[in-house]
Amino acid sequence: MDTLVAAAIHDAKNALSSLGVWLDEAQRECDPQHKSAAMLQAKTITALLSSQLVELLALYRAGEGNLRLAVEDQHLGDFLAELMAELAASRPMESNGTTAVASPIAIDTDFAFAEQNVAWAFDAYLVKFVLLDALRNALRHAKQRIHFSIAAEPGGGIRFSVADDGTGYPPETLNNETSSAMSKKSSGLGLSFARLIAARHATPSGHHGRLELSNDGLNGGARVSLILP
Amino acid sequence: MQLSEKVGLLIDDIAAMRTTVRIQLASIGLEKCDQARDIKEAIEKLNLKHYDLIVCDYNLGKGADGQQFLELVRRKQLLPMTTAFLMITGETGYQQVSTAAEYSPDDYLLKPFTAETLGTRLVRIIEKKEALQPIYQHMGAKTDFTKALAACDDLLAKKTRYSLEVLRIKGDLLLGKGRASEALALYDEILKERSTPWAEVGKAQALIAYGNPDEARILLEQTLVAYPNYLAGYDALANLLVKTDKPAAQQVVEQALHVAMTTQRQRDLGSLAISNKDFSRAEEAYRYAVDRDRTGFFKSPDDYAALARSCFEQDKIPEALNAAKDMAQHLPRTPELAARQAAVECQVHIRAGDEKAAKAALAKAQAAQKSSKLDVNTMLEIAQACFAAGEPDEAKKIIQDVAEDHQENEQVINAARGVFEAAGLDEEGAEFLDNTRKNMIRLNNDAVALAKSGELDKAITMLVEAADRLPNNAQVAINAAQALLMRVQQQGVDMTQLGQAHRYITQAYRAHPTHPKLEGAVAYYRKIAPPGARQLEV
Repeated sequence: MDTLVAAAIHDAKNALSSLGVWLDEAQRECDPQHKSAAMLQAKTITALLSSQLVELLALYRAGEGNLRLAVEDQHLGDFLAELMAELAASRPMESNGTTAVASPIAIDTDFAFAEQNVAWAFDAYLVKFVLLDALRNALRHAKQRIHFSIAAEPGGGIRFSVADDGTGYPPETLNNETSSAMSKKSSGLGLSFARLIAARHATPSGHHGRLELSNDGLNGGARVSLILP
Repeated sequence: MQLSEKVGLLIDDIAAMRTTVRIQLASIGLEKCDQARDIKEAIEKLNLKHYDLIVCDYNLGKGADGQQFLELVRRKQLLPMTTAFLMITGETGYQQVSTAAEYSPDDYLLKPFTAETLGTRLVRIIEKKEALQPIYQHMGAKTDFTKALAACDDLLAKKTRYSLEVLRIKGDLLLGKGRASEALALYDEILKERSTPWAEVGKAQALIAYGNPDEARILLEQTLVAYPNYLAGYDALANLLVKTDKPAAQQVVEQALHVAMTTQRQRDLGSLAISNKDFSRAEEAYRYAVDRDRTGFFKSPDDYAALARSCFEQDKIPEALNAAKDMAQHLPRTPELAARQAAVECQVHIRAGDEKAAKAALAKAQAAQKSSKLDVNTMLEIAQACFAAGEPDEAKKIIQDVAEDHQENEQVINAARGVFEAAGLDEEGAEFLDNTRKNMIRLNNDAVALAKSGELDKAITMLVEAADRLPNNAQVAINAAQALLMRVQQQGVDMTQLGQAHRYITQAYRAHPTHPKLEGAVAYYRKIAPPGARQLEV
């Protein structure tokens, strides 16, 4: 059962979701033709806050011993199609002076494995947040390209991989020094969440999921992989 | 597949929500869509018309939820397997919906969602239902296992995207048929590639059926560590433990209640708590069960009777009498209910030391028992009252009738054992029920021996008498039918005897549609019956 803290996080998330609706309405009232860059920033921050609250809620529940994943069979093809549609709908645009324009970064995908009608058991809701976070992060850091793939993991399991052609992770992040990550712009919430969700995926025979970070992305850019058992 | 050709039913208690979703559905082409604001309205609509899909909100107000509705309509077979069921839920309901054990929706959608997402999901589940239709047509009210299994193998050979779903259905069919080693092989094959909660629990069920409960217990415990949200795992483990270790079973149900608070699970907990003489916990659980459901759809006299017992066992006499009174007030008045209430009150009065009131109540219950056919739980309640009132012979007579009639129904036999235990007669009860079982086996064996030694008519007389007395005993009815068919085969067609055989096979089917001997009897009938004889509709 949820406590007061969890309920409060919930309320905040609901409030943010209606804020998003009002922002759309405000945009329409002002000028439906001209996409305002300021409005766009506001929308992007709302969406970011909303996913941070979901992550916070999961971490809080884990701390309370109440986080239980809803693991179910997912058709990987359907799952990825939905994920990409959601990403496209919320994809941050860039501002060009006071006008918003679509970001020029290309996302290449390799879903060949998923297209063989493979189903896998995992918590689609939480894994989707991990992957959206990774993709949005890559969009922020990539220069031109992102590569998103899924493959069978040798020895069992599946591997989602997001690689970009940016400058790569700072050494502190690769060495898992959370304190230094805290002092930077990011609190490291997204990363802690991703590690938690990866580790909580487990099988009765004792295999666990994991998160791998490296700088062998495109041209030495960052690569994050989520391996599910 | 076009949504415009489909007929939908939208269930939500909030009018504004119905309007919003209705507009979304129309925008994706589903114009033909009825609406219902509560379970009662939805059931009325389901009784009148066929729906291709149902969109139901999890929260239905007044203490009712979409999961209860789904369980009710699937259990009562008001909803064909081919009808797609989509649950919509807020984030708080999501945990409950995603943990549903026995009856789960085909898919669920978290609010807020766009019309586009709603459309994609609906199309996806309808396409799945249509793809699995060749299997579903042999399931439901009249399950034909052989044909359903053949349809599974057919679809598997075609290597569709639904193979995993087909394997899941096939595993359930094999388990239902007691074909444990085939089921085990099927689950092992799936688990070689990947772990998934239903296959782990399926494997454990197959291990139990295969006679390996220890390995099953370990597997279930490991499964719950990996998938702590998977309620079917708790249910399977509790069902396994209930035979050997009731306090441990109670613990498992407590854990499941932390995952999802459902009325049914509160009942399970209450029943275990009574067996474990943990009456205050039982009182709490049954109070939840009777208070929770304000719609009245899921109310059962069993809950009130158990609540009364939990109370009087703690010497809470006024509370116990109130529970009996509430039973009469909150449920439709029938002679059965009046008998149940009287039997409960008798036990409360005995506990309170009021012998006169107890005798009067018992007389009322016994009168009802003599004048009409009562259900098993009412019969056993009267037996319990007889024990309490110092009439053990009367009690045993009732229990014997029940146990003979429901010999192969483990649940009923356990309930009968519970009556002895509540009367403090654990050992005597075990022996009594064991003797009843042996008597039934002897009756069947004697009849078979008579038939083999050429005294077929004697065997028929014996079996027909028993089958008429015990309408719920499928084994006896099957043997009676078989003896009659043997006679027809030996001495030529006799339409009266063939008609009798037909009746007993139908009786067996009604009592126990999955009885392992039933298929053989049906085949025998079809072989013997000449053209023009009554067809068997099983």
